[in-house]
Amino acid sequence: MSHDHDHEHHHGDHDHHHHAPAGVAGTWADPQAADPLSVSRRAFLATAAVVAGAAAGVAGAAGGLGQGVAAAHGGGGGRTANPWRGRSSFLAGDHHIHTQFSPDAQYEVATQAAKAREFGLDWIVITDHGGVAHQKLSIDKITPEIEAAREQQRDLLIYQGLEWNIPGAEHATVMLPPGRSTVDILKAFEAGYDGSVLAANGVTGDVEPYAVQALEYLDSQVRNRRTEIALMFANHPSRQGIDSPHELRNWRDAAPSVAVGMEGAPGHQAAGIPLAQGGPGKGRGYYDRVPGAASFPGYPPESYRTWGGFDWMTATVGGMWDSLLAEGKPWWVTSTSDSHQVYRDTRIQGPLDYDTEGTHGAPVDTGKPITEYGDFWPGQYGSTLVASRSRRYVDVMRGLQSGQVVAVHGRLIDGLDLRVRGSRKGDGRGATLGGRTWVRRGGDVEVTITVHLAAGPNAGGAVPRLAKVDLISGPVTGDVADRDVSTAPATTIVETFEVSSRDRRTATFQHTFTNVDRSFYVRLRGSDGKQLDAAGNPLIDVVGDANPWEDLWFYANPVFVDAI
Amino acid sequence: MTASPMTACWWGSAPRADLVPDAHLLAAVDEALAGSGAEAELVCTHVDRSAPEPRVGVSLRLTGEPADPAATRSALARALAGPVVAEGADGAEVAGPARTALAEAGAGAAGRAVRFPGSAQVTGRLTVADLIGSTAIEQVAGIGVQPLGADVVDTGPNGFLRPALSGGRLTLLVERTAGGLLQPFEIESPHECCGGAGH
Repeated sequence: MSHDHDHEHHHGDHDHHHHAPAGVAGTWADPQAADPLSVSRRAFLATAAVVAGAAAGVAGAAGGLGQGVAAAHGGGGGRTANPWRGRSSFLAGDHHIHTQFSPDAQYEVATQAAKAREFGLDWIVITDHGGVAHQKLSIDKITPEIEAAREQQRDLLIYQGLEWNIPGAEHATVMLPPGRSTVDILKAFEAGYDGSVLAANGVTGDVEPYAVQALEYLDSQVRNRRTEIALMFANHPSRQGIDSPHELRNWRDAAPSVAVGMEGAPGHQAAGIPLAQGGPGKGRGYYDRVPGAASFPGYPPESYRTWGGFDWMTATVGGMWDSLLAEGKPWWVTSTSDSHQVYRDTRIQGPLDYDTEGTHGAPVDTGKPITEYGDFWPGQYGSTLVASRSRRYVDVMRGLQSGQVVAVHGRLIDGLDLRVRGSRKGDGRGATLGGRTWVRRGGDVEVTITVHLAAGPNAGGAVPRLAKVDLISGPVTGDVADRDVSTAPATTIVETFEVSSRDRRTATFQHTFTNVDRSFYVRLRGSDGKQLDAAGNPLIDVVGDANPWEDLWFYANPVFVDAI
Repeated sequence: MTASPMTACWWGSAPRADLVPDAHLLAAVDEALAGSGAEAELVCTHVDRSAPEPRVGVSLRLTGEPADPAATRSALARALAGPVVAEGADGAEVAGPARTALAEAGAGAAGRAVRFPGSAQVTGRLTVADLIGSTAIEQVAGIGVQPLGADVVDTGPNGFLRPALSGGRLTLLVERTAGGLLQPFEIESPHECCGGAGH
């Protein structure tokens, strides 16, 4: 989707370095980073930020480079992360995209990149499935294609990544910024820790420890300065019930600056378009499974379906996501396309044998729209908005790492300014998305929300209309005794704001928590109001009858408030 | 669940992993029981979590005692490439999944029914009331919907049904689907991610 206002506001700090061939051909996008001293200094600052974050009881992820340094102090009180700086500029992106270098996908990198631009994205991550053929063949073959696509799409950041088969669990995006060691790290990571590769090597039994070691490996690559940053997002976490609560917690805690979140909404959103409307008539997100032997027995049947297009973990107030946030630790949600084969596209897989070639080759055009396909192009429906300091590769990743992220479907909104501040006896400046602020006990916390309404039509041809915004909040209760807990019963909808039909470009809301006596967090979600239950929650998506354009939501990441 | 005939006997087993998929399981069971004088009228899979890695067990309710129980048990053990334990048998040497399967099935506590009385006759669409009337399914429960007797369940061309034992009753879980119909929560062909290679 296009985000006109973003571009309008981005010219001021637009980073032109990535237009310079020198910054791209060497696959190190930031020319400054070619200076070893610069790299070294950045790494030092990043490490310092992590230490500062840990000391404050904030997991390292909350204190990325910029945030950590800026978080140094909050005026003699508590600590602040992601301090509010006025209006944020968002870059729209997608961290989950497949190509012909996946066994079950088909497009050329150049096609996905061109479509991403057509639908207004600023950054994408190419995440083909890990596996023996991918590790041996595909990585080397896709690398020059990604480099060529960067040359073709100068306004698009194209990250090389991987869809990692997490040992013992679901899939995950692994993404790195372009750098000298990027390909080497990806290859070594996949060889050593991809679940499919491990299985092919005869590694069976309880493989969960490999997942933790994998994340520690990525973390060590950052600490050893082979890469400036590395991130992991758990993909389609509830699809098969095999990402158990303790695994999510183990990943997060093993490498809090790497394992930073999950898909709040899975891709494959076109799969639910009914047969009667010319669609695939499948489960939205291809969430059509049931518990299996490997599933976590504590997840209820309804967790295997999407709710308003979002994963049950994210869509349930007081559910799995909230139980993670109630620990006071970062865990962010996103929205992606998982684009393999696009609804009504006319192409089929190329003729090459994937297992021996590591690619299908270029797809073949049949000339006829294929309605069985259940995916959208990158940015066509879902997008992950990231507040980034610049259009540089590392800065966008810092934005993701620090949770300055909103997950949006169908261009329901174009942006969101969230300010949470200790308006009485606290951090008067406050923090924004993904951040942390503080208030003295007995003080007040003010939440100010400005939503930038869709300024134009989405890719479905309609101008979406936001109907309501929910302010959701729950107490921060610290580490859990039972790491398989999946609920946070004290988290509730605090207030629902209705968007007036008079609101044109923006809608602004405010809420004040008075006499605050305990630490808590707030988060936001919004809906077009078309499919709600009596309590204002999303409905379970009906398998075979869930047109995604008729049910739009956004979810924003939280701000933590420390009561001191 | 429905009181089984007094002559019914229950067996539990721990099939080898490649024999766990429904079709393989039923083929192996039927092959082993052929000519024994008994048939498996209820076949359920169970998940045993007594080891770090979950394993699948199977329970069988036979239509009666086979003519030569020991020989039939041996045949079944060979066919499933795993131990078989009979209800009431001591069987301390028998692996966890077989025990778990037998215990859960006997108590009606858990177990996913791959075959059950009446299952072979069901195809296409029928009402909830007819489903309960014509099969061993005792209850139809909904996810996100409250099923009524007159509601129509689309079981697909092959009559795919996998009800589960729960609270002593064989219960079919259903959900809404297009056209105002219900469909079983477990469907025959869910979307295969990564061409089925991923997981």
